[in-house]
Amino acid sequence: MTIGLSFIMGLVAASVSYFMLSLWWPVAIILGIAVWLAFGLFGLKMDSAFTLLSGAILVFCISLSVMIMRSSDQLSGLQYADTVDETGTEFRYPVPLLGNAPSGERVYRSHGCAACHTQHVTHEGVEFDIKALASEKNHSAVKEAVNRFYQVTGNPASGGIALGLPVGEWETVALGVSVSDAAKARGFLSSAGASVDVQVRFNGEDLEKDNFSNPDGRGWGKRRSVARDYLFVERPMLGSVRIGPDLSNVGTRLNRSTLMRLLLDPKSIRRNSKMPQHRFLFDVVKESNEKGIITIRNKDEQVFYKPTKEAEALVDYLLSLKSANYPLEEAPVYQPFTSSLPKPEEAKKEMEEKTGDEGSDTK
Amino acid sequence: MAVIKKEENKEQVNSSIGGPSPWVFVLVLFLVYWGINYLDNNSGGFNAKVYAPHKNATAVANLKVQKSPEELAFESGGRVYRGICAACHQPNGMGSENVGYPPLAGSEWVLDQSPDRVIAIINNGLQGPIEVAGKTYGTVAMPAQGGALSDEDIANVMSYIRRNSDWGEEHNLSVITTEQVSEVRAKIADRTSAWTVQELIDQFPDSQ
Amino acid sequence: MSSESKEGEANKDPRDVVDDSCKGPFLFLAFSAIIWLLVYSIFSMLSGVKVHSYGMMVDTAWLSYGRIQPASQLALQYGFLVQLGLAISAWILSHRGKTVLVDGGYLYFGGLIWNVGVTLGFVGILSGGISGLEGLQMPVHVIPILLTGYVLVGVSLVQTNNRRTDEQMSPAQWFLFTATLWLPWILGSAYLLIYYFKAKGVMANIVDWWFMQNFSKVYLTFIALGVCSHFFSLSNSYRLIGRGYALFAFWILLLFGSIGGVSLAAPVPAWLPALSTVTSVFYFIGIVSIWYVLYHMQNGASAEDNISLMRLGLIVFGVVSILNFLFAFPMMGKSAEFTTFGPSIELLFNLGFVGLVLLASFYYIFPHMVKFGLSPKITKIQNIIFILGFMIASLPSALGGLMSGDAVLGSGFYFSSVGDLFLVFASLLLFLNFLYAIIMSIKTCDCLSQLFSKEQAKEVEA
Repeated sequence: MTIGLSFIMGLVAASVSYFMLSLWWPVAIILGIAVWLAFGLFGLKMDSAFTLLSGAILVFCISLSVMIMRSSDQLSGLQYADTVDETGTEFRYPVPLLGNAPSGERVYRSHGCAACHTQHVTHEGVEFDIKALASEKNHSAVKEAVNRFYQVTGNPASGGIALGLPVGEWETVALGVSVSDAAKARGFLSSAGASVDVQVRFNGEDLEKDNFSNPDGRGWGKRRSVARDYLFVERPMLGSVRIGPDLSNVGTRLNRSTLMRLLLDPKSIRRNSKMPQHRFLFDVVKESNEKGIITIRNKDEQVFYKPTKEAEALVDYLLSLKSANYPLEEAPVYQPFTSSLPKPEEAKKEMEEKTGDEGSDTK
Repeated sequence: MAVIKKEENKEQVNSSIGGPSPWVFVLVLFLVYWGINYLDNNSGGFNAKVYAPHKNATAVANLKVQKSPEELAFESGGRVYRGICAACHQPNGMGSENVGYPPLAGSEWVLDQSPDRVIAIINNGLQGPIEVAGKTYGTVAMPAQGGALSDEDIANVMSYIRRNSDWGEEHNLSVITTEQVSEVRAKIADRTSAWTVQELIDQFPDSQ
Repeated sequence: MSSESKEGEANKDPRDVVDDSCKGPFLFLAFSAIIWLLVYSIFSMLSGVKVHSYGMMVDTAWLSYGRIQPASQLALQYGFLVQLGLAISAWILSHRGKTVLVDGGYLYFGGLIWNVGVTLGFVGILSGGISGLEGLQMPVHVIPILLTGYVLVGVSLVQTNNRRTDEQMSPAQWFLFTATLWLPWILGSAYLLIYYFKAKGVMANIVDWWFMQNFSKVYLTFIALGVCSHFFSLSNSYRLIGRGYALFAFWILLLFGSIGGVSLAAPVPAWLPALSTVTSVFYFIGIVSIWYVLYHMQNGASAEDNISLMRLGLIVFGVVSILNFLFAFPMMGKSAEFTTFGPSIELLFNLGFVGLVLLASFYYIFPHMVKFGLSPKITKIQNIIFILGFMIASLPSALGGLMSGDAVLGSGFYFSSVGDLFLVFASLLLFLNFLYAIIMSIKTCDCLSQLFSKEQAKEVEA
């Protein structure tokens, strides 16, 4: 028995007793040392087939229980969660696939779409902006709290706050601070009696685009994907390579006709797409008088394609994909300042302007 | 090709680099220390609800904007309202004139500065004709809800109907506290039957 | 290595008796492995063509990229690597244990069932029965068939190892013996957890990642390391250097290779990716130790062709391990996330390390089996093409993945198609060479009758 082997056995014993039996760490270390000495002194012959086999079985059990059993303990109890949709209506999330979508999922699986498309999004960080409102009464206390915050966190004062807090107006105290700093600011300001308003911004390439905090955003989701998103999916097709875009919320981005066209002739929508054509999902027909027929123009002739049932189901499934879109307890979404939220009428107007812009873009 | 003789097929241990030297174990120990630190900082305390890049459960909880007690009361009152009241008074608070359910939105009873009468109605129910916003209702009686609702629930749902700005701008009255409700309920603890309008006015004359 | 002295039947070298006992099963498994290599390279090339040739082969569902790609992976891993690995393990275990191969018939039978399983899986994937899990793309019903086949082969290998003459096992034997046991354990557990216990939601993916990690970091690595360590010590006249180090490395690799494999971006609680990062750092210690041992072992080894190929394989292994180690950290890993970097490095590992080492040992063993050896010239050419092939197929697309620009990604695909073309040539040459050697040796001597020469084996035992 070499010193190295007995050491490893001791290491295994210590980690098993610490991580799996959850013993107090000094006890675990003492146990590990004891095992190290025991193996070292008694000198078990380590390379007979019996010790090899039993060692391998031990390692296999450790591996299985550390990775599989532990995560299964945590994830098998997952349930629905209440969340809100875009209009503020509460609903239970996730929603199981309905109607044609389950057979569309089978089509997605069988054509191996997961080889190029992932179905999970990530996020990289979170930033907080904090605004404060002081009244006549607590003005000096709030100022003091703000200065204390700057001292504690080492942030320099900037903008309007450097000139002084105007009474009765919301003033930005901190921009882009971390979770712990935000908690401090919140604590200082509210104990000084000020009203506090917080904005939470997430950044990451996959998330919604935001010129200020997330300029590289691709709009593939409002938050990162979590295990709860796949509660009702049997063998989720997460994928690991993005030769094409992520599809976890494709149902909120694209409409039926665009998706159909992408399946039939991707380059007509995106010029440098690497997606192969999926002509086998369409039947060639002679006339274009039915609804949903796609026309492809070659040089002289026109060819009409009618989507098969498979294609319809696949598109139904894609349209039902709306995960990473609704806030969950473990993964909240962007929360703007409530004090500066536009009134409902203004929001409506803004929305109309926005959609108008987008319309002109697509032309 | 070298055909190996049987006696040669025996491993000769060359001790030039025998076992791992002690510094390897020092390295391993150092890495164990590093690994525990790394897990401490990045594993989110092995919590099922912490996802990268957050560090621990408190950080995740902090991501939510903390709501004021008023907002929390309003939200939970909304849940009570949608669960119980909205069946008759409708989610939009307009009631149903044909069947005889009076509206709450814009109702002078709800928009009374003193909440006592409405708390009493919720607690014990109401029968007989009642005039709301210029129209008379009363073909159906309102059942008592006091048995199913705690003081807090009643306070929250009162806050909801008094402060729901979707129902009109005048719905911006004060929040109702649990104490206010328990006070009223203590006063009318003996009563078992539903109120009539006259009885209500007699019991709580100080309202407007 | 090709010179073969003909000896009389009576005073036969015991080594030749062992060789004779392995001959049939070895040739059968190796032959089917080489066919699967050919299938892999053709389909891999097709899948590359699908990406950069718009509008080609678009009218048939079974030729869609999503089906060809996993099918080719299946052919590579289960058809080529596992089968050739089994054939070579059988030979090494019986040679090292100085015993004849026990129950060689199981190898035929198990190998046949394994091939049926891989074929069904291949056809199943092409006809749309993809499971959607990356490491286990074959249809559900195929896994029990594969398991049955493997267990039959494994019975023979384990029994051979138990009959060994020396009680003490050498590093080559630890690695090969453990690998032989490991695959059915992980495959069986993954099958049970995913399909029998119906792992819920992301749990199925966690089991899948765990399986993939074990398959490459434990199973394939151990096979290749065992083969390397055997041949280095063989050409070193059985001088083993640093047994203690090897033992240390073995247990570190086993312990930390079997945990992890969850990518940084996976939608699972943060502790799983963090744990994977930690284990991959510890795994790297094992890699460095085994590298150190093997480096000292190859120092005295001869400069034969197959040993040089193994040296190259070990260099590739070192590069792949360093990259895996670096990209396990979030700081580096973020830049390669979701790109073609990961699959390219995996390809480099599969072909450049495991495949190359297995092929190198195959070149050594083959002349012991058939009288008419492989043509050395063709072997040399084919090796060069093979090495160029996997380099071109993997490195540019790994680089493209890192740069992640659209244009670079595209050119990465062009390169990998060229590499795949090289691989097609190499495997075609290998296949023809193999076939020619077999046909010639059947013509020149009466080899078929010796395939089941069990009586001879019993004589030696007695």
